[in-house]
Amino acid sequence: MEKSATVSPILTGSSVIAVKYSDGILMCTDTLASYGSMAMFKEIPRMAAIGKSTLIGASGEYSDFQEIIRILRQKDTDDFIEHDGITLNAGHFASYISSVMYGKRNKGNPLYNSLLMGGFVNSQPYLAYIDLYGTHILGDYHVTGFAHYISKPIIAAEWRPDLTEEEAKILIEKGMKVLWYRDARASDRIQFAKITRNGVEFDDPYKFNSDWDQESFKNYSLNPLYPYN
Amino acid sequence: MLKSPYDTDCITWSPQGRLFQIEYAMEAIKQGSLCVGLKSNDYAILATLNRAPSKLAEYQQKLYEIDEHIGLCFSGLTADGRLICKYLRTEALNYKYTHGTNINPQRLVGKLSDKAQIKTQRHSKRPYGVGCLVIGLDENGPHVYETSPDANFYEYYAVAIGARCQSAKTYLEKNYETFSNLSKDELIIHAVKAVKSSAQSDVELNGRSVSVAIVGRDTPFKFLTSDEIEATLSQLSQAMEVEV
Repeated sequence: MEKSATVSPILTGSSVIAVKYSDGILMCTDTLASYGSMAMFKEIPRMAAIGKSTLIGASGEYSDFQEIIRILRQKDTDDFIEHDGITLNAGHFASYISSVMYGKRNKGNPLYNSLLMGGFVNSQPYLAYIDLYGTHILGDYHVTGFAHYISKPIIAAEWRPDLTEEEAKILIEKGMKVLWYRDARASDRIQFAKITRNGVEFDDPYKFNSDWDQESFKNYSLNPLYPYN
Repeated sequence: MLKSPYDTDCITWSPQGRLFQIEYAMEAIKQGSLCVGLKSNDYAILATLNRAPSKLAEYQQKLYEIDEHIGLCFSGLTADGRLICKYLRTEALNYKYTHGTNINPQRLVGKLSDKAQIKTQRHSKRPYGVGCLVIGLDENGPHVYETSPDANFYEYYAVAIGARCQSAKTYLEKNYETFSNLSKDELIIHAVKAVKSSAQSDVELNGRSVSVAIVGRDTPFKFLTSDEIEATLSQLSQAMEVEV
């Protein structure tokens, strides 16, 4: 049988942003899957629920994201079949999938994604960043991809542990808007999802407004770093 | 047990619907020395009576740590018991690595029973020759399980298996209802008393022939030292002298 390995991603999602807030975790992605530089599928979800315990969002290869969802939902179903009251929480899923991804990385056949996973562990909000190398990091807020450079400084400056849902949404939308301006693989149609002690909820996706007529875009020489004199 | 036709292998039923090879395997447990398991709301304890092959030999260990929250002891074929111990340790460690958390003790015992069941349904295999007592801790508290060659497992408040276990069982039946809120030390005394009640008068009870281990909400699995066991034993024999 011929072996194959993921060499480079084909259909990809761009950044994911997630923050802990007063009720749990709020997560946001745009709804775009890019085929290289082509904006191929503009209305697809890049977040999913695993059972009632976990919200997962992914950037990177979309088919590998679908595979990760399949793997984790299968694990959730296995628990249900055992019927002994034992369920896995977001932390268990995160540890599990990061072990899988580390193992596949070592064989040179990774699942080409960066994931954010949110849920509750010991009744406390839990947010993890997991990537194709098998990195597994916890934190109060996380981003993937381009948002590290563009959105994270904005989130970091204003994040507090007691953000309300509204405040968290405004903060994240700021980050998504700057991505639309600056990330060539981002889109302006975004979707929020949250996980609280009541479970996972997805909001309807929507298009936000953006201002391409800003002075600093039209007249680039106003940019303080403009190099020409 | 008398020999019967239909007992040559594990895959032959008797006309009464019995699998004799499995029943004979259960007999092997009675050849092994005593194991006792019991629990309160906060702790679970295993205690064993160890044997030495001769006066010159060390007492043979029957009580093992599986993980920081699970312990095992067995009665019957020692070799089978040690292999089971290795399997449980590997499974518990594997789970901890991939899931980042301790395995649920009941799930682990279930895995062992699934393995034991395979050995009751293949012509080329024999059932395990040991019964195991497993203590473990999960979010709901401590648990005590018994596994046996027939691939069943049961959960107990208190249990005893092995040679002359009936005396220990009788002692536990009389006392188990008081166990729930006992302190660690009181529970240990019950465990050692249960072992004593099964020991014949010519058996020497000391810190090496008796092993005790405990796991609890605030206590990762640990063995009692032989000094601690000897202290409990002498406490008991003093008390008995006073009673007489």
